[in-house]
Amino acid sequence: MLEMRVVECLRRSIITVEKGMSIRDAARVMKNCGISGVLVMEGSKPVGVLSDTDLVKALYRGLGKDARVEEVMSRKFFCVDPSATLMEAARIMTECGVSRLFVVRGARGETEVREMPEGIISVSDIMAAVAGDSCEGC
Amino acid sequence: MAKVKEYMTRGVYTVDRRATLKEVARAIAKYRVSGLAVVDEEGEIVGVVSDTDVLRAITEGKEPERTRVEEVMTPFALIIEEEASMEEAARMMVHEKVHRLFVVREEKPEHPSLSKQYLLRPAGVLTSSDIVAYIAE
Repeated sequence: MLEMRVVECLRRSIITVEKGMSIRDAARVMKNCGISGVLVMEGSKPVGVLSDTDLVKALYRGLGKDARVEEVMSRKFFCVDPSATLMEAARIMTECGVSRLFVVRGARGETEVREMPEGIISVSDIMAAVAGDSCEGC
Repeated sequence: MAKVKEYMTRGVYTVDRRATLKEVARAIAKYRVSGLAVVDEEGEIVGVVSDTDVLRAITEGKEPERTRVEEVMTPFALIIEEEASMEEAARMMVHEKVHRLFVVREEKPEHPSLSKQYLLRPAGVLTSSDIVAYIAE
């Protein structure tokens, strides 16, 4: 069930926001797309990740909704190699305490954001595999 | 100040304490949620299970078709009053390192861990996605 490779299940559509965008606008993107994290870009270059947890922390810190994405984003992301199994992806998620991994060739765990990932694999993809449903990768 | 009751999801998805991890994964995928309340034979809530609990159990070698949810669930939940502010909810999520709070109508006990009497009838759930929806406005 979890012997399947990440490359067979990853989602290739990666939703992005600009680092100068307000967190209100970034939150709108996340809400409208029904996702819990977005890749942050500076032009065509990825520079960070913004997750729902970052937005919860922003509210806790008292930042207004006009705060810039770059003020609250993380400059590192958590990665898995496309040839890894879903079990290996599950292990990385558990070790790193995250529910989403970016798929980058040759990368494992916490990585500096430098290149455009091939896709994303999330805990919901792994739940679908455990449930016996087919991957919805695109 | 925005209140929890304006953004919470009313009602709670539940799973029987004897369900297997595979059945939990199926329910999580079906309802598109990240966690469920675990109920006993009388339908009373006895804990919470999240997708990351299932993930951790599987990486520890537990078999999804043979492991019962009561073996991996968290036997309590965190609660917040529906009249509380969204800022207070964010504070609790950050401090307690959780993404989900059960919402109750009554006054909460001093400790935020949910005691059985409060677990009986939660009004709903507030998740980090609801905080995102609040910030999006």
